[in-house]
Amino acid sequence: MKTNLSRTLFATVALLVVSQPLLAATKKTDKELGALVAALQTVSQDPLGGRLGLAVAATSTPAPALSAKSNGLTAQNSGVSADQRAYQLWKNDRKS
Amino acid sequence: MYRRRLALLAAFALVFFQPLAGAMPAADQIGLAFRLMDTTQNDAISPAEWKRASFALFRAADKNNNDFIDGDELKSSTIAQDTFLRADKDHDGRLSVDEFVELRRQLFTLADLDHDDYLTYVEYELFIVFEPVGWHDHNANGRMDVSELRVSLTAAFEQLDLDHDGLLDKKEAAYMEAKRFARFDKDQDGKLSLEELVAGYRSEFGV
Repeated sequence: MKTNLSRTLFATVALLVVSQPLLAATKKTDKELGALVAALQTVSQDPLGGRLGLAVAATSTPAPALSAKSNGLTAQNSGVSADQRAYQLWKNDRKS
Repeated sequence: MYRRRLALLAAFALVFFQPLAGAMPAADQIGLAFRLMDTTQNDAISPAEWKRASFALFRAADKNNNDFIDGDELKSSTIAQDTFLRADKDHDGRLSVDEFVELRRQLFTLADLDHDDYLTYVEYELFIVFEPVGWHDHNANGRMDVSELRVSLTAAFEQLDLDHDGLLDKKEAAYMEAKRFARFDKDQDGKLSLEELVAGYRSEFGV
């Protein structure tokens, strides 16, 4: 009983010690991200690029349909774009 | 490392600094945004750095974290609403990561005046200047070209010249770094004429 309690306490303390740098890194990343977003939103309140964005959006062609929409394939077989994958990786990096 | 810490410390203070000339941000604010995007600190924004900044903007706009920007998650200026509708290529009433990043990618291409796949500080500054007034794509090639600077700067100049005296004083040109203002001000009268503005920017691109 005492041994189990000691082990549990030891494991808890070890976990707390190990997690501190990870938590600090996450806080730092969140702070950097917050600073970046705040700075970008200060110089431009429209993330779509104002009149420049309107011009490019008006002239660009429609994106090709993903395979899931065009031939009824399941979501598992649908094409996840490179941008979507990159965004998910970016989000996961912030969580880890 | 020290530079980044200093930039972070300045970030929250400068967010509340109000630009002097209309709605145009001040030089310090533009500089901060540029430096925070420039993670490699090579004084240029690469497509990858621009994309990471775009991810950050997308995440900030995606309030419910459903990986879409819904119409009500964007600040609803008329321009933004119109752009939203046009950027929503699959017409599902929301912007996906693909649609948003593609629009941002096109903005990067547009802003890259010398077509070298990097945004220098001057190119980013001009992007901010032209965002509210648009760009006159004289040769209809979908890009901003140095040859088109005069026409577009004329429109921007009219917006910036708040007292309509035909000159930009330092307050009206507060978006511009002081060193560049002094460099552009050939007659050193403390103000920039349209000719000085056009000639100055053209010289930045070696034209």
